[in-house]
This record gives sequence, C-alpha cells and structure tokens, in this order.
Amino acid sequence: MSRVHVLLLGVALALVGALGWSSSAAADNSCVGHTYFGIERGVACNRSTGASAHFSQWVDGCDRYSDGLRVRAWARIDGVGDIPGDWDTNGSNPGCANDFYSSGNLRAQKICVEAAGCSAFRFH
Amino acid sequence: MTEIRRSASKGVGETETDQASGSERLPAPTRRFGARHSRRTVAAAVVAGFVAVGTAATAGGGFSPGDVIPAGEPSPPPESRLSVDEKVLATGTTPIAGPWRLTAYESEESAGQPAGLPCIRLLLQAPPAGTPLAGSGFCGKPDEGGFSAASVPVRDKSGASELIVFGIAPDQASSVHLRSDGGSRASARTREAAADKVTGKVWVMTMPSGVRDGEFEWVDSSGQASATKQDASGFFDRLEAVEGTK
Repeated sequence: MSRVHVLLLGVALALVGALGWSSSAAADNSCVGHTYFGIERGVACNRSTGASAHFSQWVDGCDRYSDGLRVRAWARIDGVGDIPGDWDTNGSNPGCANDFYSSGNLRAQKICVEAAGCSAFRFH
Repeated sequence: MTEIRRSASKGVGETETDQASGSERLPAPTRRFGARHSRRTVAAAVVAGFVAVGTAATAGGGFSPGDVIPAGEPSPPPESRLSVDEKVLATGTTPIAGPWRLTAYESEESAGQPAGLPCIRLLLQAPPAGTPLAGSGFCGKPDEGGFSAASVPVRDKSGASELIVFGIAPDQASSVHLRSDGGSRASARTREAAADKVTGKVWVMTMPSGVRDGEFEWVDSSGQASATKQDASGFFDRLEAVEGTK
C-alpha cells in the first residue's frame, strides 16, 4: 500500500470515528415530531443536564402549531413502561412541558397530538 | 394545615391547603424561610399546601424560598443541576413523594426550546424507590388565560401513590381550586413568584386520595372564580400510568 493509500485510509478512519462520535452525541437532545395534514404539530425531545450528560433524563413535549390541539410527549422507561407527559401548557407559544426521569432508564420518547395521533417512539 | 411564614422584612404571608375531601388535616410546623435571602428584590414568597416535616433546609436540600441556587450547584438530585441560576420559590414535603423544591429559572438552549424562557420546575429531593419521575415543569409564558400547570405523579415500592400539581396563575388569583362533583376538593393559596423570571403567581397542591377528576379554577380576592377552567384529567392519567408501573 502506498503512502497515499495509507493517508487516505487514515483520513477515512478518522472520519468514521468522528461520525460515530457525532451520532452517539446526537442521541441526546434529539426530537421526534408528528405531522398531521402536512404540518408538524408537535415534537418530543430528550436532553440531559448536570453530571449525567451521558444519558438523557428529560423529555420535553412541545406544541409547534396553533390549531387548538393539545400535545404531550410520552416516555418509555426500561423496566417500567410508558408514561405520558403533561400537555404542553401554553400551546404553540415558545416553551414545552418538561419531565425529569432520574432512574437513568429513559429509552425513548414520542409525541402525541390530541385527536391526530402519535409519532413512533424515537429510541436513544 | 400547613403554614409557611416569611420573616417580616420580606413580607408577610401564609399558605395553607384545605383538603376538603375529608382526608385528615395533617399538622405542620411553622417554618421561617428566607434566612439566606438574596438581597435582590423579590416580589414575594411562595406557595404550597403541604405537610412540612423536618426543617426547611432539609426539605429544600439546604435551600430555602428566596435563595438562589447558583449555576452548577450539585444539589440533589445531582443530575438535575443547571448551568443557570435558579431561584427557590417553595419547598415542602409530602407523605409519599418526600421533600420537594419548586424553583424558577431561565431555560437553556435545547432541541425543544430556546434559551431565556421563564421556567418553573418541581423536583423531588429524594424520590421514593420505584417511582419513574423525579420532577417536572414547564417553560414559556402562560397563554392568554395566564394559567399553567404541571404535575408530578409519584408511587413508592409498596404501591402507595400521590399526585402533586403546581403551576402559575394570573396576578389577580388569590387561590386555586380543584373542583369536582360541584365542590372544591382541594385548594391552595397563590403567592407571587420571582418577578424577574416568572410573571403571575405560583401555587402547589397535593391531590386528595380518591379524587380522579375535576377542573382547576382560580379565585380572586373577592371570591370571583375564573371564567376559564383547566381540565385536570391529563394529570390523573399520569398518576394512573405511574400506579400501573412495575
């Protein structure tokens, strides 16, 4: 293998490593949305705070469209089950309902829009 | 009856919850708070109708209403600390959830919401084993009605459960009531929140056992009830989901 090939291989491996790191970092602070009649009505996002940044503990349920339909996130907790969040209390105004799961077993979230259905669960 | 007293220099206020459902009123000690009060102007104190067991410092994890938790402070639960300051609005303790703390802060940038929004959250300081949620809250200004609410459903290993509901009410609200079957099943007085972060007043109440439906309304000082009500069924849905967990 020539030096150029080695160099290219090294760059390729570095890129793969970087992308892999980015993908795992992107598992936190990511959202899943539900679209109804072509409009994203709401999103459920996971995030972490404090010392445990390696796993998410928060699920935010966020209304994204002013249509009179309430939205709430659902969380799937390993070994526990699915827990509904609070309805986003201020509608489509900025800000979300926030739920804090301290067990460290938050595995997925989805968003449900009143009378319009839910997204699939997004796993971390 | 639960009473939380503020020192006279900070303003006078008492808070109590009347659990009209028939459950026993539990005695609570009078607690002073604000001993470590920040010098910043604060509109007032805070809320809650809860049984206070132990000291204010214990319930608040070492912080009292009016205190500012500095960014990064590793107060319990440690994974809940923020990179922004929080102002303690209220602390208390309930029989199943244990000690809790209600705070106001500004949101941090995240995928779901921008930075700088006014937020409140209620965190359990020592969540009972087996309960999936350790706290909840919301960010953003209330809608035009000025009323917002969130809940923390709790269960312990024995299966006993409890539902704490809290939120924001308009400035003119002097109390918040849960009405069901034509009567008030629970109520809590409101208190002004930290004006620089949260507008309106805050309130906290524990749902009486056996109550599983109702609507929230706020009442002004003349006894006039709000025209708009908030359906409480979503909060009870959460309690049932938590009760059904392993």
